[in-house]
Amino acid sequence: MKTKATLIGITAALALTAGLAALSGSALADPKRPGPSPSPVPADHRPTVSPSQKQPVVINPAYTG
Amino acid sequence: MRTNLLRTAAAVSVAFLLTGCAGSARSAVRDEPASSGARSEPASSATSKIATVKGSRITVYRSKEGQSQRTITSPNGYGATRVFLVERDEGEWLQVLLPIRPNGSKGWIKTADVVLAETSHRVEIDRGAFRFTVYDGDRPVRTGKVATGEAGTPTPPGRFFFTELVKPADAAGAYGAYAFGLSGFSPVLKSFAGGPGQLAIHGTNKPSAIGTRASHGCVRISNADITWMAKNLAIGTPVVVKG
Repeated sequence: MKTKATLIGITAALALTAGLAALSGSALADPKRPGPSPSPVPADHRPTVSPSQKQPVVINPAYTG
Repeated sequence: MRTNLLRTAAAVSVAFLLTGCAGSARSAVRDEPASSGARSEPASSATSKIATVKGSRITVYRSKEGQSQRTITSPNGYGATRVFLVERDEGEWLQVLLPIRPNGSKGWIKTADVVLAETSHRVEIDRGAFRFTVYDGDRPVRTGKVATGEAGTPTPPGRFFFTELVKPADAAGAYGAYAFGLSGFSPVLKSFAGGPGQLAIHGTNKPSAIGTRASHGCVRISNADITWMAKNLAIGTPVVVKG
């Protein structure tokens, strides 16, 4: 009975050790993922320029008047 | 008793292992890189996107599959950097309104070929009421009277945008203090005064004609109004002619 209990205890300890090792191992073994493939920057994060940046062209225009 | 405790410890260990694995799997899904930033979004009424060409020319495509339609140069004929009004933003591609005949022509350009800006302004021209209104978002910020085209040379309805800002060399001339070229053209005049029949919103040296059908297709407003527009509105600002 005592032997059986000891064996169960050892098994539990081994399982716990193996579990912890697996968890840390999976983190270590997890290869560094390549960065996401180049994709367009979301529209709302694109740099914008001030729409007021304009200089009038001095010329005699040819619009339909 | 001790045996039961040890059995319980073993069961907890196994459960811990399983939980850890499941949690790890969940993390892997959450850490997936976001799907492509490409997205489809029509221009909202609150803001409009303006695309300014980076280089000296830009290829316009008939479709996003890459079928080339034409090449448009920058700057334009007035020396202004070429801009387009964005009608649809799909990430790597933009559907834009083109400053060509027929009015309302659209094409696709590559987002990488332009710099994007936004404006919350738009101009609405009500031909029947001879009135313009400038909106900032949904808020009207300036309104005034206009002259539109005569019956034989009407101002066409449609959605346009400012293509350039011109300060006429002769400030006392027919175009007044300033003129904003439009992306649209007269439906009648294929050429005018040496130009291609391009429409514009401009000032005037005949303020008494404002509020009537008096032009060859352009929209005339007071010099005070066009000076205000020149100060406050960007090239690329949308202009809707209706009524």
